[in-house]
Amino acid sequence: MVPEPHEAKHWEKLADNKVRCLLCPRRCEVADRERGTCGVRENRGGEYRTLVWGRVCSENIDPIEKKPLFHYRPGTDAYSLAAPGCNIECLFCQNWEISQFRPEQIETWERSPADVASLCAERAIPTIALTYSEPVVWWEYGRDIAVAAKERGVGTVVVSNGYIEEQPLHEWCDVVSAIKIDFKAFTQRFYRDTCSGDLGPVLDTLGRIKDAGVWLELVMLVVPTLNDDEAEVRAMAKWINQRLGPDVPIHFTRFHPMYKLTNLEPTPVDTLEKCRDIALAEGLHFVYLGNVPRHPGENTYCPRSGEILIERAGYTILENRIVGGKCPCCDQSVPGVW
Amino acid sequence: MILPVLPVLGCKPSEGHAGTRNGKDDPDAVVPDNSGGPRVALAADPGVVDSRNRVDGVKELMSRALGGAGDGEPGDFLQKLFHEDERIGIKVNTLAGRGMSTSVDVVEALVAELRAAGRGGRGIIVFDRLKQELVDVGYPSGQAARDRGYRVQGTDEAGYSRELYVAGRVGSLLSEVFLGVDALITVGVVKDHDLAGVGGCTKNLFGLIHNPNRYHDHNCDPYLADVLGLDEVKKRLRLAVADGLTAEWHGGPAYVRANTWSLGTIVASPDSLALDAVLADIIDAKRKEQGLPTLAEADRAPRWLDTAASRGLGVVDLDAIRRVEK
Ligand code: SF4
Repeated sequence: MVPEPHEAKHWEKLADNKVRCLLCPRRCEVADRERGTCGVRENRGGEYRTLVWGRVCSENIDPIEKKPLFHYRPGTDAYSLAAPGCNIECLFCQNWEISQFRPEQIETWERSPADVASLCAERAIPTIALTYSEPVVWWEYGRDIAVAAKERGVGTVVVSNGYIEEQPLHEWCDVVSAIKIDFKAFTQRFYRDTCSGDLGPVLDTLGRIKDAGVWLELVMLVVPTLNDDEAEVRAMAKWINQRLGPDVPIHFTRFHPMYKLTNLEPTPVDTLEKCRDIALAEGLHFVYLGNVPRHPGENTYCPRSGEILIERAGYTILENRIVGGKCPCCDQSVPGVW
Repeated sequence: MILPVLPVLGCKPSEGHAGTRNGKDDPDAVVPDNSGGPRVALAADPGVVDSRNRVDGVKELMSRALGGAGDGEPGDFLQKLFHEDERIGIKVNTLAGRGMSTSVDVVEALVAELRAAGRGGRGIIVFDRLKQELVDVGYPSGQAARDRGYRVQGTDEAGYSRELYVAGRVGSLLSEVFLGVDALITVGVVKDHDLAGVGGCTKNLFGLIHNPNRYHDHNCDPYLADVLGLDEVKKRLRLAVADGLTAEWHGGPAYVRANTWSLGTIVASPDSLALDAVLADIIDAKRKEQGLPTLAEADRAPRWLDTAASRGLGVVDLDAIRRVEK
């Protein structure tokens, strides 16, 4: 059954009962009875509707480190949920069985924003994470969750590809506490050929989040031969330093063969280490390795004293030495939400 | 465990390549004779659309269209295309509701011809993506359908494959209803399509995959060619039939009544691409008559037709198609 439609935001009417969606840079022009590329927004007689408001296809209580957000309330839990859909298609998608489906093709269940907020408030879960699939395409639902959560003193974080238009992004920034963006590569070629997306809009998004003052972390999944070129990683690190500043954390994570990209081996750990070295050499302060449990690159180090501030093993915090947002050795303040 | 990261059980890479339609790799497959160009037969009688004897009129049109496509008796043609012990799937198009979908009359006329030819021994299944859309258009369910010689099923009832099927740039799960049939007939509608240029029979195949919305960019080029080139499709697709009783020159795939006309035609061909090339020609002629830009001028030329033809998946050159008016 196609789920009940719900009023969509960010679209405009066109001639012939068509609509143009203004939520993401695809700006799909959608004829009556058709859906946008994401498959979760439908034109019903010239009115645009979302089919995923209040429809959850995945929910779990995860450590916030799993998002990964390393500088946001470390050691706490995040009630994590997804509705179906995505606006791009990464050939290596780890969650393709929810992101690449229409809502009627997978199991979903109902969760109103108020229910989600109450559940977290009652269980003292400090954060809701909009994650797993692509929250941009279920923007209305995510925004309503964040508003309801805020009223109950619960924070909301977003895990996104950053492929979103300016206005809906601003409206997100007004209600969420942190955003993690999958920064997939620093070339248009990779975005186009491997993700059916575009690099430019993602760069715009990163700058806008930074300017809005919302806590931001980045993840780059390093895919052997496709985005692991050292010059490319260096250019990316340079851009991050110049546009976003050295304090935005970046996580270089390990690729595993999945979905349509099954012909490549998992990323060698030394490739990830090389990426980390390059980013540190370019002046970034907080550079992490992901999907390599117990690697020293999982720890947070003070950029001034070099001391370990947070020691991690996978998603577990072994020790957090940060005091009042500062390094206990040199008093250097450590950026983040502590 | 809530996050459902399930393994891909396997990939079936497949590329479109020349001369492999209609089960060429299968020594038992029956391949229609396309020497001299594929036949596209149009049987027309605009009076049928609102006639009180519509059912009989549609049967007559179907018989003429199939006979024309096979250059003989419809039964002989169907017997050449299908084995008697095959399960035949009829993929209809019901997205646009009653006004602009594959009509029940057309499908039942086709079923009658198949039965008369002794085909569909393992069953005939009429299917589309959603059961509700089939019901909305008027297809019967359960015993009522069986009493009329077929079954009706939505892919939402049977689900999609766990396996990912890949051809060119398309990677999709396939309808389990489709995978369960031995042979396929695509029965589309004669209509303009906002993205693909022409609705018709090949675009109808997007209803076999779970993620058609992914493949609408660039006027569905090369994605429609990719879907047509899927091994599972090539193996099964034998016949294309277009319901052109009521046709739509603009505004499709939705039903815009003001943009429709009583074409009163059923079109049939063993070559889905050739049939769609003819439909594009019909729609363009009507658009011109209505003072509208052609599909190409409207920036939705069905380029995927040429892409698919260049891969040997059919013929789209109108001069090379034997257009048979019956
Ligand atoms: S959110 Fe979906 S419908 Fe809207 S522009 Fe993006 S892909 Fe298209």
